[in-house]
Amino acid sequence: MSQLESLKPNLLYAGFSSSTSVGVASHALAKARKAIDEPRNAVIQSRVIPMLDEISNTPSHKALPEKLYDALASFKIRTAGVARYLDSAWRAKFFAGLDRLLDVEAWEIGDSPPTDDSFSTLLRALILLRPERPPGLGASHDGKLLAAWTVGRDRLTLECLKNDRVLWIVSCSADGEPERAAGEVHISRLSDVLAPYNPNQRWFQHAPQEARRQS
Amino acid sequence: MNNGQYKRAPIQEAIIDLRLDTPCSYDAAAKAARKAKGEYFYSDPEGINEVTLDTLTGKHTSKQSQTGVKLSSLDRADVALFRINGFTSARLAPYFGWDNFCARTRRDWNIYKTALAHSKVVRIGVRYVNRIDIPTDPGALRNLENYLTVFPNLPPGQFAPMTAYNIQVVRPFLVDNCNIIINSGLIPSPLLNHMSLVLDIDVGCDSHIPIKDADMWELITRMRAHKNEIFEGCITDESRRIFDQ
Repeated sequence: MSQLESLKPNLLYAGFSSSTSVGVASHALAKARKAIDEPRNAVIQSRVIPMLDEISNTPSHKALPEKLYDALASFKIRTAGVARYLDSAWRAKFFAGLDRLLDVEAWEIGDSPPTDDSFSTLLRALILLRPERPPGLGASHDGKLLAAWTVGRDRLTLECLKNDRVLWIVSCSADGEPERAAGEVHISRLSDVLAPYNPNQRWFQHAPQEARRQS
Repeated sequence: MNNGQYKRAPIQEAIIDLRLDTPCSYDAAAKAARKAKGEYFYSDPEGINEVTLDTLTGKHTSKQSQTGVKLSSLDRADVALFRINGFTSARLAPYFGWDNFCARTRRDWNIYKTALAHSKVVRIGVRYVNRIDIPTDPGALRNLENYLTVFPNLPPGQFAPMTAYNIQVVRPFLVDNCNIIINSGLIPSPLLNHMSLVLDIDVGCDSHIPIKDADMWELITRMRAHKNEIFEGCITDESRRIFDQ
């Protein structure tokens, strides 16, 4: 869908509208809001923002259940954009994790659902790391997605920031001694910084029993 | 010619669109959606907002109207739009083939058609949006002709690699009274260290549409074959290699 959003504003499209049209309209409204937020446009803010709120289906004060519903839809549609790189069973487990994470029962009024920016970083990191096991998913109070792989007492956690940056936290035992490490890195360097902990064998592969079930 | 059996099929979205000569009532479209709801997980209303803004006084009026219902599967990949002006079926990636997509679309169209008192199709569209992911640093894509046979051609000059383009080609097709619309452009890739090309092919027909349903679906199947022929003609072996990696 994102490719259509990029193309549509520049093209007079003579064909039929597709299922993406709602997304394109939302995109246009978001762009309009962003332009109005520029300081030089302060004069018109008071007049136009209320109008955008009225005509948009995504006002800033939208209720939490609606925000969660929209976030879940957006994440699944974004995942379709890279589906060719994902195994179908892996994708199904990942979606089940998203369904659980964004279940309205698990949230409280005032929480911020995960952002598209954070999800985009998660998705791109997962395509790079190619873990056999989908991560367990969580969210921070301020809208960042957390991905975690746990085996015994060893745990790797990624907090997905915007612009392809992640905060990584490792907690494992080395020679019987507990060891913890953390850092912030661009996802292009993630494999390198995690290499000393051998994440593929330690966290990303299926356990032997699980691997048998998979096959 | 490939039969669409690429290891990593480039299809991002497949769409079949059937447009009516006169809009039906919202109630009829919603009734059809309710009948089809059992096959889907999500049901979302669709509407449009009309806004009038007086720039001098700042006064505005807005009017909302419902235009249909969108049904989606749990993974949001199967979509059916029961609209007042027609029916649209879409499939996002991963794409599981024409037989699967066509069978679902036909099933839902029959539900939609049954809910209408009168339905004459005046336009059929078969549209496929494809994306080619090319491993390269952003802003470093050279030689577009390595991937597509349809591309913007510049005169010789000292150009840096292309950072953006959009082209649209609209041409009548000499078979089945179809029109072809090809959109292509360079877009940010969902993958790191890649650039992506969109190849969006829409085969449309708005004349001599068969009245009998069976004949109409035969036409739709032929339109899909035309789309495949055009797609294969628009890509190069290098693109095929990428799809099979």
